[in-house]
Amino acid sequence: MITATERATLKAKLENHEGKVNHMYLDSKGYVTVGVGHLIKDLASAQKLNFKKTNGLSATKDDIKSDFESVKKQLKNRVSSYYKRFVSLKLLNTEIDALTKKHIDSFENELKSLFPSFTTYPTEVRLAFSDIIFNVGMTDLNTKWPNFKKAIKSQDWETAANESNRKLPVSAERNKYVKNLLLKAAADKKKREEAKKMKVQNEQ
Amino acid sequence: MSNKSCCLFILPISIMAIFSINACNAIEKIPVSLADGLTLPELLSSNVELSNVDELSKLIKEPWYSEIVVKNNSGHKLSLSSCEDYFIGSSLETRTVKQYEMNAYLELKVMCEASKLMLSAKLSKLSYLPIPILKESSPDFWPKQLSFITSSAESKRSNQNPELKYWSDVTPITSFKKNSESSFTYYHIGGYQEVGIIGRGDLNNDEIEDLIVVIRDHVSNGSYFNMRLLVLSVDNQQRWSLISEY
Repeated sequence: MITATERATLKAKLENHEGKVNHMYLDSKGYVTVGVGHLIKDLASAQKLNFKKTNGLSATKDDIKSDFESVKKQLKNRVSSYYKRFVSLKLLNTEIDALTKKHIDSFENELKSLFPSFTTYPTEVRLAFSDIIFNVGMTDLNTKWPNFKKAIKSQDWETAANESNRKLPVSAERNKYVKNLLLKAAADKKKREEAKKMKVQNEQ
Repeated sequence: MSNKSCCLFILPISIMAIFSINACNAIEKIPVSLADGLTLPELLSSNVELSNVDELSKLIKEPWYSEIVVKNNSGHKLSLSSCEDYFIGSSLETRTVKQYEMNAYLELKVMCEASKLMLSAKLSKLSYLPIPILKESSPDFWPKQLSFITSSAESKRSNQNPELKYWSDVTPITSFKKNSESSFTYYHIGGYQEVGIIGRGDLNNDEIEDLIVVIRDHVSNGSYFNMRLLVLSVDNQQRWSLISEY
């Protein structure tokens, strides 16, 4: 289980990478999106969200349909603020946070299904791993990262660190953040192993 | 024959010869052409019609639909609002200040680079580009540099492996969708790639027509996105090669 501190770190990182947008917009794939990269797969899904009108009242299904269809017909992959002129509804911060929580939960469940020992990994590994999975997706990681996956499964954090780099346009800063987390886990593991060895030697 | 009468005879023939050579060249040379993949006009603040390549030089100065604040390696911040700004102030290391605006920046960056590239393209004498250019089997013939890998280490291994030659050797394609003659989407396990033709022209001074394409790399269930601009060439044996990548 991801701890509350890890969850807070992940949420902050996600908001930094994905942005936190309180209105509907189109992502790079052309999907209607809201909040912290929360994909709205269709109109019915949009109508389940608690959008508010500018006067603070809850939006009707028709209001949501109007915003959804207005955004849907725009060109994709523009800055999110561009779509503001085509919508009138907003999602409150509390609603966005609830969606982000669900998002993190679903990724955690996917990670646990692929790596049953995920919950036993050190905090640094869980944070690093989550960052990669949010970015490249579970299928890509599962099929196109054989060496990284193998290193994680065998808990070889140093090799995982060396295999963790993502290609451009992922920033050097983001790659370094993940690599350093894994290297810290590797160093901690080494220290623990050495301490254990020392203890055994002392007992003898 | 006197000098004067000689000139009267030779000059018209020379002029005719010059004209006929030019006419021959005009017929033989293949003009630079644009395709639907070049979307710079859609990214500008006002609607601009684009009817020929030369007009791109005007579009480079036109304001974008939005300004974007970027930072360079030194941390120096600047606001970009046209391709002209981009060419003056950006480098390979330039990134958006707001990380989540990077995808939108890539769209603008690649289209500015594509416009610049098209403006530098020259007429060609020969073309081996097939008709149609994009097809279901393109990934089986196009070079492996078009493949889609998100891991730097795996990408390095793929580049070093001489057995992997073609795009589909690295990224096996599971299905495709034809959006138009100049735009195809190729699906693979874990994501998909949208390929769009930007235009055609000679870009390496060999007088053979080259192809300029844009590739949008998407993953399923993730936020990773990349956009690449590639110049490809094909020879008379229908062997494709990569000339440059932006």
